[in-house]
Amino acid sequence: MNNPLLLDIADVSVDFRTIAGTVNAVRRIGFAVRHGETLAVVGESGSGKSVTARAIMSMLATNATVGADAKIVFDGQDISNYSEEQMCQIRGDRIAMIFQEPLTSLNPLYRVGDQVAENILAHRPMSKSAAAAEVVRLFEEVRLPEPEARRAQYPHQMSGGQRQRVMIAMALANNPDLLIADEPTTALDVTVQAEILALLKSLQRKHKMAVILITHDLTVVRKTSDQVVVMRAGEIVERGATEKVFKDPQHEYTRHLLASEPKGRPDPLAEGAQPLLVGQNVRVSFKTKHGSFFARKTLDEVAVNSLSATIRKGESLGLVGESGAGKSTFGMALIRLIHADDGTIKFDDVQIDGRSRKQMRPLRPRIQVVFQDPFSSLNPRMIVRQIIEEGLIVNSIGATSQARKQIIAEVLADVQMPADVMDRFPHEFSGGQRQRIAIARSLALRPEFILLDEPTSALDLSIQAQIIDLLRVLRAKHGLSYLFISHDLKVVRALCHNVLVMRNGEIVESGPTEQVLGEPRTAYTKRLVNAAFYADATEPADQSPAD
Amino acid sequence: MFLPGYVARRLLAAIPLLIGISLVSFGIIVAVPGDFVDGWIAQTSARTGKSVEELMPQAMALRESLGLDKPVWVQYLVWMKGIVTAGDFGFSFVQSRPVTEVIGLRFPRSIGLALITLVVGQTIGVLLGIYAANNQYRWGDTLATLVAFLGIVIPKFVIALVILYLLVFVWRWPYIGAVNSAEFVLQEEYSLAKLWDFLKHVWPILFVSIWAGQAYPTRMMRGNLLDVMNMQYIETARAKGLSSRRILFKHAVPNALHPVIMNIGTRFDYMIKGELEIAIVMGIPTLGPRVRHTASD
Amino acid sequence: MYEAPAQASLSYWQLVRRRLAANRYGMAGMFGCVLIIATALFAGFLAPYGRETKNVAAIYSPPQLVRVYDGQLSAPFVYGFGEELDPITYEITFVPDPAQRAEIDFWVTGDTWSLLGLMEFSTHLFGTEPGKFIHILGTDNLGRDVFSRMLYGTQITLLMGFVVMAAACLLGVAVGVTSGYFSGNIDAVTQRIVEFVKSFPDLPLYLALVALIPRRAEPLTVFILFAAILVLLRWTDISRELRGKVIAIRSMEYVRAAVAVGASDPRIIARHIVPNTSSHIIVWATYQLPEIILLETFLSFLGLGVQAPMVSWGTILNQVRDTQALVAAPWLMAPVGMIVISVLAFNAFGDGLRDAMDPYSNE
Repeated sequence: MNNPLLLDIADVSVDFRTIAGTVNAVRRIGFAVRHGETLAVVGESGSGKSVTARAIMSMLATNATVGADAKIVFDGQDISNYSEEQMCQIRGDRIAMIFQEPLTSLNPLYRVGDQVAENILAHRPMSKSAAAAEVVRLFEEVRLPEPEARRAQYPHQMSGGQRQRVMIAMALANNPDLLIADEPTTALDVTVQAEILALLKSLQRKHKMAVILITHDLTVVRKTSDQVVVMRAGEIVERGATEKVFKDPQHEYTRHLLASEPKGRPDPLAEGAQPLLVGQNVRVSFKTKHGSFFARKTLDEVAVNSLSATIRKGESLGLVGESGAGKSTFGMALIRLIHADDGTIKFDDVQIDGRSRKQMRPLRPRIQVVFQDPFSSLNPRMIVRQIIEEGLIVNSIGATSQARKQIIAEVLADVQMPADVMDRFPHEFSGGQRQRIAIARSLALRPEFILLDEPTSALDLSIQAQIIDLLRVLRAKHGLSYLFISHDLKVVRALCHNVLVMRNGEIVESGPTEQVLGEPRTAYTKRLVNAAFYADATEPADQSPAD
Repeated sequence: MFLPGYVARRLLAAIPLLIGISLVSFGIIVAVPGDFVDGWIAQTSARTGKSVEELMPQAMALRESLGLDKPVWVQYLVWMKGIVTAGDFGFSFVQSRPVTEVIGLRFPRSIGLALITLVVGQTIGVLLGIYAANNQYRWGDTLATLVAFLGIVIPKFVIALVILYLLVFVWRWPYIGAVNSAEFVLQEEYSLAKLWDFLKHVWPILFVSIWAGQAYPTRMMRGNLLDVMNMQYIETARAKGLSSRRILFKHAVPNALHPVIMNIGTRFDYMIKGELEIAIVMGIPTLGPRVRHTASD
Repeated sequence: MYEAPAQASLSYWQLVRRRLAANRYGMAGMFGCVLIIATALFAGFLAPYGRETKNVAAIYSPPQLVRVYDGQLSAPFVYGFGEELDPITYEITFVPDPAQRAEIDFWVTGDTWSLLGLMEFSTHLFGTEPGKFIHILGTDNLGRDVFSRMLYGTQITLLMGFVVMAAACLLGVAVGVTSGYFSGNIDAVTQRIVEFVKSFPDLPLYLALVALIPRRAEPLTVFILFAAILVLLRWTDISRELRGKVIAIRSMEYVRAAVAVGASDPRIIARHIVPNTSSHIIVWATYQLPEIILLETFLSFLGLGVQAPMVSWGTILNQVRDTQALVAAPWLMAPVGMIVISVLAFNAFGDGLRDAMDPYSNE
């Protein structure tokens, strides 16, 4: 593309003043965007992507300063020294921005229509009714169903995908030349993600906007961008045409990032492996109270509707689906951490449904669990040694403190952590390290089965790959069986022999992973697969605004 | 949304609570050793020199007429019936007047003063909070925070004592221990002069209560506003190119104000308590001194 | 692979201590608290007289000014008072009388006092030679030294504060944790009780309940009953707050992980729930202390709390309940100063603790 330059930034540095001293979040970076082009800014958390975007918009926090020699040339004008007043005229009019969290990016007190109209009225002289008509037109353009009725809704009455559409409508309101999208799809389910990306793409073409897309998702980058900038620790390590960077990455870090997409396949499962954990017709419902004080009704909300699953010895079974599908509830019910109303559950041929918490205790060391959020899964008041030791003490494993210490050192080695972390508190570790400690806590009890509840979804991409590798190694070494809950099909493909696809409390498809993901039979699975591997909305988004 | 229904439900839910409160209140009345008739016997025998035995027949008659000879639960029901059907809270034997009459004049005074201090205090607090949050870590913020801190921690009765001391010794203030000066007491109609005179008497209540009352909303508003300013939708508003004034007053303040308004019921409680406390110390005839005397009688 | 940093890991409490030490107001508050507690412990030493020692020659005598200058610099001394009768108004005024000069001596021997009831001493920080008196804050209607009584009052006031705080804390924590952790019917019942207790307008209720205490009972009995009433009405706040906190912690993944390794309820409560609410409880307790002090002082000021011969700040203030007494001896308001200092100190310390207790928050 040889369109003229729209934005050209050079020598942009951003420092934050904190109690601990000055932090250089961004160091002398520069890049350029041409009219109508999409530039992707890629990097892991803390790389300075979002800070850069806010520096362009002059929307940094009050404790941040932009380096004095920074140049931000927008459409031929250096805007780096613009006053707040001058920037107000550019923001929302010529440069628009959308954010990661559709749940919180709209003001809860005002109708969404008014919030979009506010943007129009701030920049264009127009009557309120004309602005309202304009809002309807914009809502149509972003394919919100029933645009007229939506205008009067409050944010909390909408789904995440719909809110993100409202945000896009707001951004488009004054036909901006540049749209900055800060992780616009990260908080959304995969299929919605694909629709929003498709929408952005088509709108960009139509309005001939330039887009700066900030993301950590390489599939999205490959699919949507013309140029890419790779950031790490506040610096740009590589830039170039997307095709070229993906084909022939120059910098070691880019290569590392590209390699961190989960790869490989699980080791084959032994023939004739015996069933270990079997759930049949497991049903879970939650009681919710409705109605007034006098006509109180208790409603049963069925989260898991009579589902069955079998995990054999040495098997990894994947359980995939979008948020709210009931995956975690089903998994927790199978290991009796959530009460199931109905159904039979057997572990190693012993019936475990109907057992009290006390009766479950002898089985607990054999059935373990690793949770999603590494930041809340470790007690902040205990040192690592106490965290891992608790299970040993409770289950009388290791007679003396010395023996227990030995076991703890062994499992820490298993998860590739040195033994001297034992005396440290969880807050000193990063997310990936905490997740290793959580795995060590489970492993210390020598379990046969581990429920992995989205253990990698809170982690950066490269860390994710390391944890998947670790889980694979541990399974082979200790002969473990996994039930692996995830919304990320790539991870599931790399780790699981078989897979169950869940939607709204039901299983819609099941079978060997390669088969289900390779030739999905149901439309839903097809959509999941396309969204995950190709960042594509299977059906054109204008026909199925799914939410 | 369904506000009337919600209010109705809350009120209905309050019925068992009210019954419980009435039971406990009555329990306290009954538990005080010696009833009114015992007091009457002691007093009369002291005045007339008659012995307790001589007074007994009269005492029994008095007891009967007051219903004090009946079982406790009957007394309770009679008392409750009076309250529910006639708003009659019983009879103040000490003052020989119905309770409603005893507190009748004072009750509106207390509620009125508490309401005024509530409204003024909350308004000042909210404004100060907005100011402080917008000037975070500057001297204006420090000052507002300090004033709020003192307002929260300094005991109202202590300030009231200090003011009383100043009024008596330093200013030789004549308007003490009443709500109006003598010349206005019998004056029925309301006039500006009477209001001014009233304010001269009760200003310590207003001053201390408003000072204490603004403290909490100041703190709350400052904290909320600083939190709200970090919300994503504020960034959205900035990205629209709105002026910082408009962002503050249209997007941030309404969101920060919400918890302050939700808390206003609790604050009213607090203002009443403060009013009683100061009035007791200063001897201003609102409900406060009455409540205090009832306790020691 | 992870490499451990060289320096030792800081525990939660070490972090709290560091952050508190960096907070000037919090440290000033802590210093004030220590001072007040020390005053209570060593009241006998700091006070020149016992709490009931009477100087019949000085009824309602005003505070004496400590002087160091009598034409030339000298060791500190005070003048006694001569009474002068105004021939017109018949008002008695006290005039410093250089003839009644008393030198201030240090480490003097006087009334015996005991430290925590364990050891007896008779040494005082300062005093005068036998036969002379020093009243730096004046005397009351019986000629008792206000300064000494105020220091002794610290003991009762603080004792009341700590006793009520500890008991309310224990009760509130027990109820709050049980209610939040086990939920269900226990929770429903306790929450109704808490709502019930909280629904009373508190000041009138205190007055009503205090009125139930038999006036002629032993002072100690009155003290205990009084404390019991305060506890009864004070435990609800912490129990409700803790319940919310426990419900939040109960659904944290580390608690669910403990269930998954087979830990029992008592173990989870003791090892996971209580340690993670302890900072909350400590902060609450620190804020509670000044509130109880105020309540005690106010009710004793009204004559409804602590009874003579026990001395608290409130009972001294009670002597100036009516305007005439206030006019006669305004110096009896001296405990107001102690009240303000202690309330400021405990609140500033509480603020400092509250900020320091959340060390993982944004730095």
